[in-house]
Amino acid sequence: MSRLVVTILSGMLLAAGVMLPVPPAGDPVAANVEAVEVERFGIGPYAHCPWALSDGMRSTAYIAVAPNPTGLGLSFVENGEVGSPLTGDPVAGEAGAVAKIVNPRPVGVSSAFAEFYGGEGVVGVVAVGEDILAGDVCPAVNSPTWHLPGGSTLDGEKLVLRLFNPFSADARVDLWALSELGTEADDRLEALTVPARRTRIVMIKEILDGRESLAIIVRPSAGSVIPTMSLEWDTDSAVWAGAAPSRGWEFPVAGVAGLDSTLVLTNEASLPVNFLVETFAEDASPGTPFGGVIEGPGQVRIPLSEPAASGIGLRVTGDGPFGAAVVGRSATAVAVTPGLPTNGDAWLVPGPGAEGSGARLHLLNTGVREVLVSYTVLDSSGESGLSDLVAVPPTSLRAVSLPVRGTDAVAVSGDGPLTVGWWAEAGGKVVFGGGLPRD
Amino acid sequence: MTSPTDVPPSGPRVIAVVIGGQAGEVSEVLQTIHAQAYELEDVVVVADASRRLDGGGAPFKRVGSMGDAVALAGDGVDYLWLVHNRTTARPDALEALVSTAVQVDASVVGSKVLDVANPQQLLFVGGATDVFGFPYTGLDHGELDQEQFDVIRDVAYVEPASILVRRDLFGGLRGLDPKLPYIATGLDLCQRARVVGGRVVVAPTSEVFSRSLGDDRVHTWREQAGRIRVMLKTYSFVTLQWTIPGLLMLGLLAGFYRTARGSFGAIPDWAKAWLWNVRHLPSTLEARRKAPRVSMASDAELFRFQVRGSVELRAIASGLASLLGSGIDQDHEEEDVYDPSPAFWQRPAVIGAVSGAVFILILSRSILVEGLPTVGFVLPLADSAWNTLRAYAGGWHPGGLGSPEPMHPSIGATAAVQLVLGNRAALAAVVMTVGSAASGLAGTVTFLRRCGARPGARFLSGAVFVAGFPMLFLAGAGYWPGMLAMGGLPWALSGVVSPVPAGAVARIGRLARIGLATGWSAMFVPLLAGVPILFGLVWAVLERKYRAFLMGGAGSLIALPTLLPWLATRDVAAVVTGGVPLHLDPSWWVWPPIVVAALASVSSGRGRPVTLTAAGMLLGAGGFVLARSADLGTGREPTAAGIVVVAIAVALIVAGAVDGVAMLDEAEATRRLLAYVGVVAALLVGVVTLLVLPAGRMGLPGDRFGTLEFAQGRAGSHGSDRILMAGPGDTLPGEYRRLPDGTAYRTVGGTLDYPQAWLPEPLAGDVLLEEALVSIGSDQELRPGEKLAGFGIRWVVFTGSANLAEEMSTQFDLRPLTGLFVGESGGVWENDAPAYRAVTDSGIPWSWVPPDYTGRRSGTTVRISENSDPRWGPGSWEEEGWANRVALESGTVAFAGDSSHRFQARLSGVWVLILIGLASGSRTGRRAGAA
Repeated sequence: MSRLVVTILSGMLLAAGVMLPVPPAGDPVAANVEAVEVERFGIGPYAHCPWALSDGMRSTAYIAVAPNPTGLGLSFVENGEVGSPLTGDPVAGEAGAVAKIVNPRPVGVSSAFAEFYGGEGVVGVVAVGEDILAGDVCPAVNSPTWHLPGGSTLDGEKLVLRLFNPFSADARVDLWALSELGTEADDRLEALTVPARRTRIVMIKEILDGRESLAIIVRPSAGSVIPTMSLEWDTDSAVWAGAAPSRGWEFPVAGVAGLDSTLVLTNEASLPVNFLVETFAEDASPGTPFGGVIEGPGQVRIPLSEPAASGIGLRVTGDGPFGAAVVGRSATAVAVTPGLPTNGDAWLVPGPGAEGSGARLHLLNTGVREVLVSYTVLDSSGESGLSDLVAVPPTSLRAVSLPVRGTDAVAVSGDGPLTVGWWAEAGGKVVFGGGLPRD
Repeated sequence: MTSPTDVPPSGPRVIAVVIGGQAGEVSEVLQTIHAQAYELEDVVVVADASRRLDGGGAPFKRVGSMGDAVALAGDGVDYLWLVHNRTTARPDALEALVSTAVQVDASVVGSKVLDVANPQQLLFVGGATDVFGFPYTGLDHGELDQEQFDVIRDVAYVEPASILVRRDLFGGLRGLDPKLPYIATGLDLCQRARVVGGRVVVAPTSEVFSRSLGDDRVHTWREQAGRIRVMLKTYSFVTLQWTIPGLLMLGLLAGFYRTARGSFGAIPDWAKAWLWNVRHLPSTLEARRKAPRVSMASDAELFRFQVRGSVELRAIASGLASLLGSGIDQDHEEEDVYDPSPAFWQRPAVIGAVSGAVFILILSRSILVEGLPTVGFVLPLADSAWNTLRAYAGGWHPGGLGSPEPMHPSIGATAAVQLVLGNRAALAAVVMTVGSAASGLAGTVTFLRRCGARPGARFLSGAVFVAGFPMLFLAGAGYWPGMLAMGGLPWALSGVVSPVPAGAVARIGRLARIGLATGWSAMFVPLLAGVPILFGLVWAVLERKYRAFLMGGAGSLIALPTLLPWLATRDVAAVVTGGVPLHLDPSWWVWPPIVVAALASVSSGRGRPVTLTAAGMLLGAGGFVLARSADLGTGREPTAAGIVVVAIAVALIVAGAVDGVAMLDEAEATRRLLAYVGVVAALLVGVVTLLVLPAGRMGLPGDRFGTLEFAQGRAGSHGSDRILMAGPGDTLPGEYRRLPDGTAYRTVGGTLDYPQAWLPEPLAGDVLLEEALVSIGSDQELRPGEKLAGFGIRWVVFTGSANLAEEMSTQFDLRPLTGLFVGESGGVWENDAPAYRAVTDSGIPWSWVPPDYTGRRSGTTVRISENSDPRWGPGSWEEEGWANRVALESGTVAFAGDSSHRFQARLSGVWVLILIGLASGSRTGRRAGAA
């Protein structure tokens, strides 16, 4: 074989080898925390309930709803231990299965998590008492950062942050406080350790007193926590869970007659976020959208106009992830609800009947097509509940009154995307509640 | 030829004394004595009275001891002619001795000894010793008598075949020492004579004949013992203070060396020699005490006739040099093994061999001192080699969640070596690793010697093969099998290029050696089995010697059975595409020197160097494509084989480039310039090998999995439990699988060992484990520990960042072990849920003693968390999900095994033994024939 042939043959092979590309490594790129908005929002196999309150004057009900019959376990996390779960089988109805556990811990504030064995569902907690009407859906997701806008620490107000760590690893958390003064600095907000299977209580008022508007952003640097905020007045309290930032929020319950409502938007990023607010009412005539900028990091408070009797709904969209909550206040009542980051065709709504005086269900259709909605009231006692079919016009809100009794939960399904919330009023106290989409 | 001498009739008076122990047959020696031209006063045979002597009618007197012989001689006799009973002599032999004695006034005169079977061949013509009394004849093996030594010389000793000694001196010395063997007898007499001032010479004109005693005669325990006794009798106390300890250690070292070379009696012989001397120490001291001291100022006179250093040590170094391959310039390897000439150390081949040994020592010094790191496929061998071999031979594959699939051949090979080394796992791993590097270097040197390369090119190429960038890449990836494979391949190629030997036995032996060397490499990188035939094809085309192709093809075929039973259960697609591929992607600056060296050599060179370069170019380019073919779908085995081929190809190119200049004439200026460019480029390639020297780990990364020992430390009484490891693929031990999101993971037993490095094809349990991990990774599991407990997983270890690790912060029943890290980052979690590989229905965990399970009989059944297979027993078996439930009949549950795989594994073992036998047998036969 001549030298030339050897050289040419070798050169061709060498060139072929050089041109062969490096195979992909196969290892996934680590998730970018900043890019995460909402991993998923909807019902799940478990739910974290960082807050419940029971004593001689207050009663708490855990209401679990599942689309299909499934086992339920409710485990309390205390003193570094996970207790044996209280089990139950939600009573199945045509539209879903519901279970109600009242005052499982008779005294004090407690933290728990619920597990659906072999299925998925949603859990809500509603506390009712002489000076409280509060509740919300227990989060079924985890987030690397949590926004809790809507707080204040004026005279007569007590703002408490509960950092619930039901997990096996200790968590280390930084708190960012955003107020009308800007970003608040205090070393009592930094590097807070939340031991595994414990709840750490942060008395925000003791740290940042006298703030008219105070938003807290929880950023775990190690481990995870489920935060919840409670705003306590002498006459009422509001409890709301943290939410992961999102580029869009809908509020089926953004204001009701008799309450001064305020929209609070938070931005943890260094860049400002431009936002647009659209209001929706029952008359299908959307209000004039308005926009603004949330400086980064910072918060924006937007007082909402006095709504009609049926209330209003909101949609807020931004060009970056942000947090949002609506705070409703009156002389005796306070209610706060975080927004819903996504819409869906079917919803499970726990707890609207817990107060027992009747609640109103809000169905918000921000789309341009009418949505035909069927809703079914679910009762944990097994009784057949009300079912009805309503049409929600495009870009409008539809309010539905729910029965006074036997309304432990509501299953909603429509032929198009919508968001669902509820509110209730009793003795001058108000609660805003929501649900989770099924799919 | 014996030269006529002129001795006056009134010359010295001599009597002949026949010595040689108790042989009864003395007729032949008496006949040769009586045939002497020189007139003898008398002929005496020293023998016990009980011994019947057959003189064949020749007259002789019989005495019982040497003292009687001296007494019989009387004062009128001047000399005694000591003749061994095996000796025959030319008629003028004695005359020449006497003449020499008179001429040079010598006290002891020895004859030249020729082989009675081949009178032209020299056996002895006077010798020197080293300080330890080890004889050095200065003769090459089979050296013919061409009168090259025919000069009267002072020597250290003469052999007692034929010695003329002054009677008065002999009497004073109290004769011969009857306790000493043949060579030591001569040494003893000569040294004692020299110590008292006597002169010892050899008279080459005196020719006698004797039988060859063989090269090994000096190593017999009697001769060793004799040398020690001679030292004790003749050396001063000052000298003995260092020579005796030195000889003790040297003998032991030589014993080990000779044992390693197959002389299994060497160590016992060494011990017997010293014990004999201890037993005879009183008589030795008595002889020393009675020895005349007239002129013995010191023993310095002896040193004048001794060679420097140790002759035996030189022989060992020469042997090692032969093993390293660079110490041999001849075509016949057996000729140079024993050559302790004084100029030995100055020979380029020896310098190369020593440099090679030093290079390997520096390259692997950290491994030799600290052992191997645990990283990649570099995993500790299992505690029990025998149990590993049981599992290998049709037993249970411990990888993943287990499988009846045969294990990778390298597991059987490493376990066999471990078993041979007394089940010492760490020692076996180090020996194999360093030994493979040394063997690779020596094999490359030998291979290139067979190809006609010069010593410098051979050594540089050997270093490039074992420490060039391809091997560094394999080491950096922690691909231990690839490193071990380098030990055999060059030897196989050496056999391919060597001329086909004459004779069926030699040919069979050659093929066995090629097959054995190929098999060794193929057991670690199976596709290397095809390299000899490919190389044979290339060599045949380039050199037009088509026998190389036949030899290569035969070698490849012979190696295949060593891969059983692994080979029989793999289809081609699985071999080609299986496993995570490697991808040879060195830095840009690595290539230019190689390409320049290749092009310069192939364009400027002549003769064999061009052939070497051309072969390297073709092999290297082909191997390069293979080593980078991962994107085409090839798996681990082809890419690993490609990298090893590139390594040997680069070595060939370097050898061709370095040797190219030597083949050119001075007049070819342009060609020479180009060739020098090639030399410089080749040297640059060689410089790369220096990069790996500072760390001393042969390029292996640092230890990564040492902290996994926590699983042992925190294990319950039943032993360690399973570990789930996840992280970037290159941070995990051995093979791994990937989740749909790309996260690499694998399970390992609580003790990480090499048999678990390879993962079998996934079975039901592996599929379910993947599903569980997907569920955990999708944030759908609050209690992943419960899920993992079903697989016997007690520990979750992340060796780096992984999506799965993010979920660990949002679960309930995996407890983080804060501060414990394995690898670069991640963390370790312990399962709060009870997680056992095996547990009885009464909750008693059982121990995993690979490949079996043992424990206390408690309950009626035991669940074995291995992929279900009805051959688990001995109790009745039933499938429980993906796992096994076995009725308790005893305290052990084991996999019954696959008889077909077992048979194939045994066949493979027997085949290897046959190859070893044929390879060594033919060589032994050749040596014996040569002797």
